[in-house]
Amino acid sequence: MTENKNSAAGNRVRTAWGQARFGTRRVPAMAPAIPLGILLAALAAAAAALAGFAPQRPLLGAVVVAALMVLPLCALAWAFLVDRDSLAGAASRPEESVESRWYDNAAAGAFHDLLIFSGLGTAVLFLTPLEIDGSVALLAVSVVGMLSAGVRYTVNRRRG
Amino acid sequence: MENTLPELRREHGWSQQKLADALRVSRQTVISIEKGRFDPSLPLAFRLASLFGCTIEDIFTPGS
Repeated sequence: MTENKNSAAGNRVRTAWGQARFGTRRVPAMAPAIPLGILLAALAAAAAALAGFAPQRPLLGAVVVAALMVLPLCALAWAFLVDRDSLAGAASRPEESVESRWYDNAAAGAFHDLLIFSGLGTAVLFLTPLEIDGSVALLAVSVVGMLSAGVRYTVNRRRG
Repeated sequence: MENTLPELRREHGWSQQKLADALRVSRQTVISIEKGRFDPSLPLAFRLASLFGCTIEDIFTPGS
């Protein structure tokens, strides 16, 4: 992990992965995040098995769910636990940084893209005999929204 | 908006990172302001002026 000092936050050591604060005690944020992520993935796997995710082979189904969920849940646990003032390079006032403007612009653009996409999609489904499942339609809307926001943010960042 | 931020920063011998740390924003924010691609919020403009000991009008002028 790289370390540097940041005068804006005093002389506290900042690291690439940051620290978690428990009262006055500080520990590397990944230390509690990894076991917590594993625990949450195990709970998700147990819930999937109980819900009949793979009724023929429930153990295999639980293992697959746990394997798929463990990394995102570790990342989620880290995001909840980390003290952002202990992160190297993190701005103390992100809302006044240009990255916040890029995000706002990307989110606004993605919202308009979603309006157009869902409007056109509804028209197509209404005017043609084409039928799609509701979950597929929602998945498409989610993917379009995420892609639009991601592309727009990248374009904003490249423009500076 | 046009600004004299690059000149002011160099006069004070500050790097973009040092200025960003003092303002508590990202270095990219300083870069974007200097290039005139990002207009800072009023609180940020006031902090800039306070840092350099001048007024906001000394730093920022309306673009053509």
